[in-house]
Amino acid sequence: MATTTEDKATLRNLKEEGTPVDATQVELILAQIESLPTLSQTAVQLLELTSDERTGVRDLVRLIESDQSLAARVLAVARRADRGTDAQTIERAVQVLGFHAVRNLTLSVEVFETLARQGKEGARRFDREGFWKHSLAVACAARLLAEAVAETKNPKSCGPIQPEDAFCCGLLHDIGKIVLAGFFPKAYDRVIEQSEALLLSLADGEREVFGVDHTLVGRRLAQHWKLPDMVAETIWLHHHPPTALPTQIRYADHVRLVHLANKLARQMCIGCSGSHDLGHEEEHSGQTAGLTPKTLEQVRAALPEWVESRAQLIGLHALTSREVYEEALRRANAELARVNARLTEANQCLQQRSQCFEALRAFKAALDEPALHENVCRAAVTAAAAVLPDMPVGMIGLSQARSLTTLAACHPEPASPMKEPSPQPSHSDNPAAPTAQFLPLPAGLIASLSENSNAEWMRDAPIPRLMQDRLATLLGTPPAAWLVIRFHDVPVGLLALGSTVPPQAQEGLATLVDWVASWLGAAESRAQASRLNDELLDMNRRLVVSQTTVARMRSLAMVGEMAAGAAHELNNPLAVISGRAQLLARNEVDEHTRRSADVIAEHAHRASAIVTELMEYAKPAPPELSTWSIGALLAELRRDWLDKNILSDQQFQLILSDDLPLVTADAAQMRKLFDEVIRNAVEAMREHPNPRLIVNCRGDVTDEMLVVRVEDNGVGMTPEVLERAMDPFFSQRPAGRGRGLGLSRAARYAEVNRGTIRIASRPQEGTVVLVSIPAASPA
Amino acid sequence: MKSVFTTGEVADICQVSQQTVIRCFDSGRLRGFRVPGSRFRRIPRDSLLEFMRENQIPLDNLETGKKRVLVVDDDEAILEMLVELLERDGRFEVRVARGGYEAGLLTQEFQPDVIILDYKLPDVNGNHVCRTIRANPTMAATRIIIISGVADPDEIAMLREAGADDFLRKPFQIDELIARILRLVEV
Repeated sequence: MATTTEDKATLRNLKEEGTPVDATQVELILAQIESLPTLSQTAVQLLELTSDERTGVRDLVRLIESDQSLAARVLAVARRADRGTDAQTIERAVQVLGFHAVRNLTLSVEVFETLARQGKEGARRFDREGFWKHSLAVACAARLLAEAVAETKNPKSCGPIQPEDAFCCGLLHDIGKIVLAGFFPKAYDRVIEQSEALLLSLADGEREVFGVDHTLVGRRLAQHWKLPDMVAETIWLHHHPPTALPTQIRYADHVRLVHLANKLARQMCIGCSGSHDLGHEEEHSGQTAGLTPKTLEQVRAALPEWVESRAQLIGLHALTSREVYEEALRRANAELARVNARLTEANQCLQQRSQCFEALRAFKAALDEPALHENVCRAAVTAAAAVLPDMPVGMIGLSQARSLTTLAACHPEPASPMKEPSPQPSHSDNPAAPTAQFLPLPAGLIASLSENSNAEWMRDAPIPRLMQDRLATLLGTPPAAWLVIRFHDVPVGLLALGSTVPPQAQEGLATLVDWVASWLGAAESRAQASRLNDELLDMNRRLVVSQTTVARMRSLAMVGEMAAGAAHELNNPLAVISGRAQLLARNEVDEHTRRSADVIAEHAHRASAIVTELMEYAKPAPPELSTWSIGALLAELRRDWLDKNILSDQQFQLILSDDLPLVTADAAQMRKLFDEVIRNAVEAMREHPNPRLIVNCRGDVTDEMLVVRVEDNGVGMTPEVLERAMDPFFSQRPAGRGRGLGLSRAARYAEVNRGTIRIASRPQEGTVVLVSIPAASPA
Repeated sequence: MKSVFTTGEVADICQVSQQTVIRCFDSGRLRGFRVPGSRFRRIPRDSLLEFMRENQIPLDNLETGKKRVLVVDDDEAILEMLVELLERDGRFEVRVARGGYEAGLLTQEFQPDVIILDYKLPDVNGNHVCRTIRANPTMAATRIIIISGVADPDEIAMLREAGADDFLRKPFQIDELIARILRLVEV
């Protein structure tokens, strides 16, 4: 058939690109079949042989015998077909098997060989071997079914079919596929792809792509090759529902048989039909053919062996299903063995993991929430020892937040960890690296365990030699391996191992290290948080104190400024008053006037002194520090006060211990201070019938301060008064009876000399004043 | 007030012979100058004072023999009071200034032996006055007493550094003031 240029292009597209064609071009495809090689000479001659028993048999025998390989295979098939016969010659075989059988057998062998050679380079996805195995399986199934049908003698059954005819029909039922796959490899790849993807039958896929399926193509080929009608009809209709076959066909029984055989073969997955649709009407078609399920079962059972023997005969050298089974069995066994081995391994691994899990569980159970750094270290060592039995395990934990280094170790025999927290700085003068190797864990198990980070760790926080020695002592051996425990890349600890870690324990150990790192990290974070909290509290406290101080300083500065201003403003007029009064007194005046003038002058000076005192309170002169004995000062003051005859010797007691340290302060200011305090006490006891003033002196606990205690049994102070006792110009005494700067000035002197004054008092019971003065630092 | 003396006048004041004065003048121990166009010797007041002090000659015969005191204060009542008490004492010749500027002018003219200076002046600061006076070599002999209502130790130290010789707080005892003045001028 001549083809136009356009037609050629279409075909080329179909062949090369796999582009689906228009339905109108189906004929073009079918026309390609004309170009297929004809069957071999033998096959052509076979087909020309008539069914004439006498001439036919003789010609057939001659024809077969002319082809040595064909003869051998026919003989083998014949022997196989009837086990009781020992067919040594073709003639004998023909006698045994019958003309039809031998002819069909020969034909199928020929067709197979022709087509098997055809299109080896065809569609890549097309499984040629699978295809032929499938065809063979269908052929064998059809043959077995045909025999079974013949045996049932069921009136409902279809007409008797020669088993070898059935074989022939079965073998060739799908040849359309190989034609399409051979001619249009790419397009056929698409067909296969599509049927796989959409679970279509191959025929549906073919129609999609080619507009025509393998049944039509096969039928055309059968006609082209002048294959028997029953073959052609089977090829054409084998996908047709057996119950809906066209009435005019002659070989409906063959078609049904092959249809059923096809199903069986596909069910048993012998070979590859290429179809992915699922058939369900097998029972039905079995019944149609008059076959019981039991018969079908028998057919199924016999099928693999048949396929095997026939495959050998027709030169399908691939493995047959039995061998496949055996191979599969062997493979399965091997796989089973491997699975077994893997299971054993997995079991070991599971045991290891279970051990590790148990260790982790124990680790967790040993720790309270929230856990302390040292407890984590101890639990970690115990857990590591559980993961690594038969190995001494030690640990150095570092807590920066608490400036704490924890050493813990655990030995194989007595599984009790020893712990030695050493509160000392993490850094030492001796940054020598330990002699032990760092544990080479598999890469990626713990990313942070690289050699570099180890080196970094060593640089960041060198393990003090002392720590190493102590750990070695605890371990009983120098560590063979170190394991850095990091939390967010910050080293928080080191695990020291007595020997190298077996591979199966490494994963468990890595997990444990991760856990320990998290716990140590958490403990560290908590410690840090709590430290920050403490610091915050302290800051707050200090802030409040300094705010108070600042406020006080500000008000003192204001008082100072006011006093200075007042001094300027007041002292000029006071100077005039005083000067004029003095001049007046020098005049020739009477005694009374002179005395008045003197009083005026005196009080002008007194007024001025108040202003000066206030200024001094606000801005005291810097203390002139010297070191002296407080005992001597107090004794001197006591003498001065006794001289005033207010208190008797018994009423003023001074108790001094012998070993009082010297003090460092401004002696003059201190003298004024104690004078004020004593004055205050004396004033408080003014109305008391039996006043008692006790002054004693002792060093405080730190020996940095010396504390003088001044106790009176005077009127005391209410809490309100006590609170304001040291405010300038505050006085409990009736107005006009004192300036009220006394105690506040005393407090100011204490302050500038780095001392303190504290007052405790109860109304009607008395007052205790505690004055602390810095002790002289020992030379 | 006389600012330049003849050798005869100097001889009277110092109660020595004129020849002695001339000898001292010619030897350079008594500094002075000769009147241009003549050979008459003239002795300026400050070099006479210097001479008398060096030779421990009583200053009583120089002028009135009274100590010249300049009182500087912006408070009129203070000035009045101080003038009265110093003049009543009889040993002092007193002038007053009400500000630093006036004080400067008067110091040149009056050549005081002692300046009683209130620290807080309305125009020129007390220590500035001190510095100005100390910067003038002809007033090297002038003594300065600061009187102030406020006795800030830092300020006192600063004034002393600026050239003040003594410090007295207001209000003060009259006797104390006079004693301080005499102590400064009679050494």
